[in-house]
Amino acid sequence: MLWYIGRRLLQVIPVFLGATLLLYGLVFLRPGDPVAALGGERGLSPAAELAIREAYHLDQPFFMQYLYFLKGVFTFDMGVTFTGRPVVDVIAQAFPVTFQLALMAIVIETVFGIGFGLYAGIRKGKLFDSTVLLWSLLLISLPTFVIGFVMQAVVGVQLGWLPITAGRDPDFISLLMPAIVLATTSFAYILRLTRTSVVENITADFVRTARAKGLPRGKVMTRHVLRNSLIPVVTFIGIDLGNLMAGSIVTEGIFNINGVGGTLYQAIVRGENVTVVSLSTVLVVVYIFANLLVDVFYAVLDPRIRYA
Amino acid sequence: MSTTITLTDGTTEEAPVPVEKHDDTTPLLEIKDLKISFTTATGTVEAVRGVDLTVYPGQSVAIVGESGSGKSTTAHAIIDLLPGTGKVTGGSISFGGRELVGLGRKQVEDLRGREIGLVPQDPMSNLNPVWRIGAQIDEALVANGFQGGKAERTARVAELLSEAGLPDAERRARQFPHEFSGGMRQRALIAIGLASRPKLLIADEPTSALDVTVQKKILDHLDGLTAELGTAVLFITHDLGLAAERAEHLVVMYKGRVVESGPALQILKDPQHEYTKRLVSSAPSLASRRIQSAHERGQESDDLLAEHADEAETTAPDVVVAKDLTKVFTIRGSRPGSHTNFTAVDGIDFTLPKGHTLALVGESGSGKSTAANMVLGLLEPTSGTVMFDGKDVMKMSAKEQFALRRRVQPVFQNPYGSLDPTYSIFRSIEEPLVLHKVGDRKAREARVRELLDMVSLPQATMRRFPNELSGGQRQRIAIARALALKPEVLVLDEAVSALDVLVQAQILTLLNDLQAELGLSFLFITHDLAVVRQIADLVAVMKDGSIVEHATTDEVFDNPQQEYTRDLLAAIPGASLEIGG
Repeated sequence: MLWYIGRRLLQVIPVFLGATLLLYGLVFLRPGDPVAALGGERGLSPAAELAIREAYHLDQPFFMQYLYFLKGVFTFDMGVTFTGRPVVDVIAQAFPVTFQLALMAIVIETVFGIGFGLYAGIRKGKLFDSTVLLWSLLLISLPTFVIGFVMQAVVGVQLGWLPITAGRDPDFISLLMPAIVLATTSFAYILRLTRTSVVENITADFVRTARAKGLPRGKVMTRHVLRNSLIPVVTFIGIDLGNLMAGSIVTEGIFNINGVGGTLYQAIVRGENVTVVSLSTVLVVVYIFANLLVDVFYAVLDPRIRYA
Repeated sequence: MSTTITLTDGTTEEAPVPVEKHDDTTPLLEIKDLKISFTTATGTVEAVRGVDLTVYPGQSVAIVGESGSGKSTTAHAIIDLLPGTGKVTGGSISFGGRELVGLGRKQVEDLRGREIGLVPQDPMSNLNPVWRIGAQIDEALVANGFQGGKAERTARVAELLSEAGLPDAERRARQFPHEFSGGMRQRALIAIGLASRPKLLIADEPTSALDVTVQKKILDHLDGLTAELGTAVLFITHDLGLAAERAEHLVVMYKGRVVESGPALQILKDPQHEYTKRLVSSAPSLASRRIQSAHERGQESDDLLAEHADEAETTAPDVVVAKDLTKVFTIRGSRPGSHTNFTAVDGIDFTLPKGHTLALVGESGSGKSTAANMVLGLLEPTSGTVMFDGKDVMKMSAKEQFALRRRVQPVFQNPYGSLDPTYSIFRSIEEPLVLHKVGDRKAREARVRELLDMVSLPQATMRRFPNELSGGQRQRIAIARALALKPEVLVLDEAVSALDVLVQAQILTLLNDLQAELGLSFLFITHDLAVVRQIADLVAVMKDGSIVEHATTDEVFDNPQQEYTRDLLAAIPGASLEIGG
């Protein structure tokens, strides 16, 4: 196992280099000149422009620029934004709130997805099962912003139960609605995945053996059906963790949250290449580690999997 | 004393019966007129239609029947474990004077494990892969009210495992099922079944998935254990020889009904019902097909034996010759760069004479299938050669190899897996003809019809799909497909192992007849020595990658030279029984 984790950590290096090079290249190829954009309508004096180009190594060839960027990443000095804020500060400000949001969404979708899925699977073909299947299909087909606006209108405005937007430094309560909206699609997927898995396992031979032992029904369901059904679900949750970190752009927009999604979107619109590449780089690392975590957790859940 | 024999037409007759030993006159389990049906999309299917069965304390009773006869359904109904939509629709099951039909969930849960234990069929799928063996026995103890703390339970688990015949039980209890072999898993399942000392143990085909020598060891052990504990055993099996050897009383089921029941030996020696007679005559462990089907073709068995012996030794040219055939697999180790070599086939030699059958016999892991795959050209030998008609298969050009495929065709074990479920039967059989560009569409259709005739299936079958056919019919299709290109050699890899005895007998007869008609040579891979006797002229016994004995079938059966061959022969269920006719 330690060998496996070690080897996976070594694999992080080429993935990291490849991903950042690709990102950097794509941003480099973007049309438009950020320095010219900085000058606005009036334009910069040639001397100032030259000074800026030199300061940001923009006069160097592409590959040298990439190396300067790497150096910045490893010394936590990723430069400053157009407004003069260090990029590291931007990252430090954007990530905690996104992380909290993602974590809340994960908890919500896992608890409810697995719970509903298990119950639906046990009562396959009954009213609860068909109702839940239909609703989950509906949730999967609805775009996030529809769910978001409907929630805001109903739960926020009409019922007044939860705040409509989160704003700066949001607390748990104000993040609750965005977290629910963020969780809906994945909740539906987890529910369906759990249900299918439970339906499959419930007829497995070892479940019959467990019942033949005289185990009470509850124990059969938790120890033999649910435990085995969680294996594919965990894979999904792990991949989803990466998605939630990055893919909350729409939700963050609706609820006015200054998270990774929002910041990244703003940076792309403004052409702040350094910020875009830096944020994406952090996301790449998050993704890689989320996957590693899933693989390790997988081996814990399923003893047949031995990494060698 | 007398036993009631229920016939298919529902009438019963009293038959005098020799005394059976059971001291207690109150039955432990009494099933009366049990009816079970399943609800399907097309209506209700009656799986069990009025079964009567009695088990006395400490007695061993076997239910014998082919798949679909309702034997497992009957057994599962006792402890309310019917699958899916199965429901008891009539009759009664009484256990120790208590009615079990209609019992509440809690009451059934109390009964399971504590009063009635189950040893299930397939050791590979009946243990939960994510829990340690010890934990799976431990939970049975907890559920059935074992008095004592964690430490006592752990000690008890080890005790139960070693009682089931597993050495080094304490360490084994901490392992996971995938670290166990099939035989070891079956022992763990026996430990679970007997953990709470039930009065009745239902053993549902407890060893059908295991090698014969392992099967014998485990059944011997189970026999001793249940005798010692005074546990009554209800065996469910498709193997008449095994049933007769292991149980005092037999109940033969056919299509949901009990067609015959009585003391084991009496049924074998003097079967009354038509179905039982067929079952007895085609039980592979009890008869020899080679001689029997010759009888059907009007030949004297002596002549045939002489003829075969002559041919095998002299005239026929060898169509396949394997010389010093070796296959080494490299297994990646736990550390980077480390690996171990596993020699699956270790320098074996064998010859297959034209028009004859060579059986490669061995237990799982003996390398027989690897050898077959090398003959088929599906695996490249590490060293050694396979000569086909005097030509080295590995030195052939790609074109020659493609041509070779026409002359050597495989039939695999699992007729459910080897046919594409989305292909119609016609398309499945036609496919090799299309690949080898044989004839036009019309000619190919004529050939498919001819092939279906050859394997005794109606021509209308070609418009159907695999899921509409039975296992035996599918295996006929697989044979028809193999014969499509008019091959000279068929490699039959466990081709009849998944089939019921009666179907197995039919397929073996079919193969026999096809061999006589078309002059085919068979390389027959099997773990079942009983089948070998019925089909093979020559036998090569494999063990751990080597051939330990290679001789004619009669020599191997009548005068085995090797200890291992003798063990294999002794392990055939029913081998020790003397049955006339």
